Amino acid sequence: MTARATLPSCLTPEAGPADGHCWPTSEQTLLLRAALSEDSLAREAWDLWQRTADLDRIDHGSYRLLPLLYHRWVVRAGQASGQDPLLRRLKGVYLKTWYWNHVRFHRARRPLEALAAAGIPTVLLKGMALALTAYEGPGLRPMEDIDILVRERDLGRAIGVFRELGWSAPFPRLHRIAWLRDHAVDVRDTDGFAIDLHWRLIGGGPATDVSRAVWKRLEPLVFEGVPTHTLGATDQFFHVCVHGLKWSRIPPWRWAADTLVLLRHSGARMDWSLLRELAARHHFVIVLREALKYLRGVREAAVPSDVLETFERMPAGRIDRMRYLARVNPPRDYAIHPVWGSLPEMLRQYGRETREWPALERWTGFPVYWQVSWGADDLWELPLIIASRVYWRFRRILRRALPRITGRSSAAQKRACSDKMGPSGQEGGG
Amino acid sequence: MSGPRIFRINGPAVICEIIEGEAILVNRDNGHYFSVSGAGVDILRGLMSGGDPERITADLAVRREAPAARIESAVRDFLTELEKEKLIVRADGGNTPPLDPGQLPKVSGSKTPFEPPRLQKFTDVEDLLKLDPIHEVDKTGWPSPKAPPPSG
Repeated sequence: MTARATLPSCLTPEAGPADGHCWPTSEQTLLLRAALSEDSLAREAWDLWQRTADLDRIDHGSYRLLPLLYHRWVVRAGQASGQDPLLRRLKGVYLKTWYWNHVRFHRARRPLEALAAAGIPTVLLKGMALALTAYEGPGLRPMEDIDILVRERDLGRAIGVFRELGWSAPFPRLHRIAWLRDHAVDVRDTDGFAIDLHWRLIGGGPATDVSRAVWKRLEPLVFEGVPTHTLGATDQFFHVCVHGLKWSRIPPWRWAADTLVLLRHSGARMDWSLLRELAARHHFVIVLREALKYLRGVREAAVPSDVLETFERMPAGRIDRMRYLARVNPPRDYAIHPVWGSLPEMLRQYGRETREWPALERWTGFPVYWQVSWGADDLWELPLIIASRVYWRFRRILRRALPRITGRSSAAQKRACSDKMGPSGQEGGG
Repeated sequence: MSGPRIFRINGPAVICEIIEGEAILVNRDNGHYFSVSGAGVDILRGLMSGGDPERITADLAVRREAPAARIESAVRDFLTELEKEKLIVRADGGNTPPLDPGQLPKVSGSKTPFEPPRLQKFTDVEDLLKLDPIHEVDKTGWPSPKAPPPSG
């Protein structure tokens, strides 16, 4: 059987908001409230959404929330879908999600079992972990693939296990320098069913430190008789926010639903002081502060007020600001960074991670590390990227300077300015 | 003397859920999807709570308006169909003591009409995954595709 999901044509990126964003739109927030807010607010949002919803134009992010909406109002609240065409369609999305997730989870069982038999501990990440633990059932959390984390030192053996099972498992691209910035490989069975095999939680800067620390705080999970793990509640919250909250043409706001469900399910196990520590250590203070602010706006009980106050008082440095701006702006707006981008941070990170390497390999390896960090396919692309950054930087300076000279302020500038704000409208800087 | 055999859902390969009066099953080994309606939902509910065919038949006879023989034959045929599709299997050591009529639930009010069990099967995984549950389905919803418009 062919196991790769194909999105309906209405859900391809062309159908989404034309300008892209980082934070959910007002329509999406309404949907989120209808699915996950406190009862009275949710009822109001649900009634309004039913009156105004246009499923023909729904974006991909909103589509992913429909099973949750169906479950809350039809399964839990008892509003029969009957002949109501809107509810029937929501039920269809739920059934399809239920079906496909059960099939894919079953496909993941064998490799998980083989990894466990080989003595390789595994951690389920993102959708599958959330669907099995925080959500009320596998039909409520659509996902594209399954993510499994192994220790970096177990990666080679884990790939061997997949190969023995007949899966195609390419070795990570380039060489071990690329590993420092990369974080997962795509392994597939003969039908094309994919698992993202992680050796780190996230790519880029803080990946190694974060990934090492989470192994001390795992929660055990037995999945269909196979022992595995999920991240601890706080690490899971951190991971979902850091991984999910970023600019996209289709606002990737699933992180908001995931974190609200996670807080509802595991709120009592959240270690807010650990979250503050993670935010400070890995320079995600502004990202997390703005995420918490948004979540509290959707469901007040989800985030205690004192937690938010503490985050608001936390100092945020230059790297925190850069991280935040890089997430809430479209990629070309990296021009907001200095032309050299996060080069100093990259150098520090590289120095730390290659401390034990032979000196020659260490010095000659940096250009490759730089190349992978900036997403270039080849070394010769680096000068082009620098030239492009110079261009965008120059263009931005000009666009700022021109209205001052001519005395006009364009709507486009106002929009560019609001893109740098958080959901609360406050400037993202610390 | 041994009583009737007990069946169970053929887990872990097969998963069953009952939602809004419809039972849905998936055979995860081959990706086949099944939708069950009518008395089939009651039969599956009875199986999942450990009931044997005799008990399920008796329970249906108490609740539904139909001759006992018709209900008995419908239950038997439906279980045969489920077994053929490998959705249920005979449980190990699955003989139950003969039914004590006193154990049957007391039903107040009138009986409801008996709708024969109906099993719909969907086997093309690729089609199931491609089918847009919002725009491409008939009025019964996913996974039943909308009929193509008449040509000409």
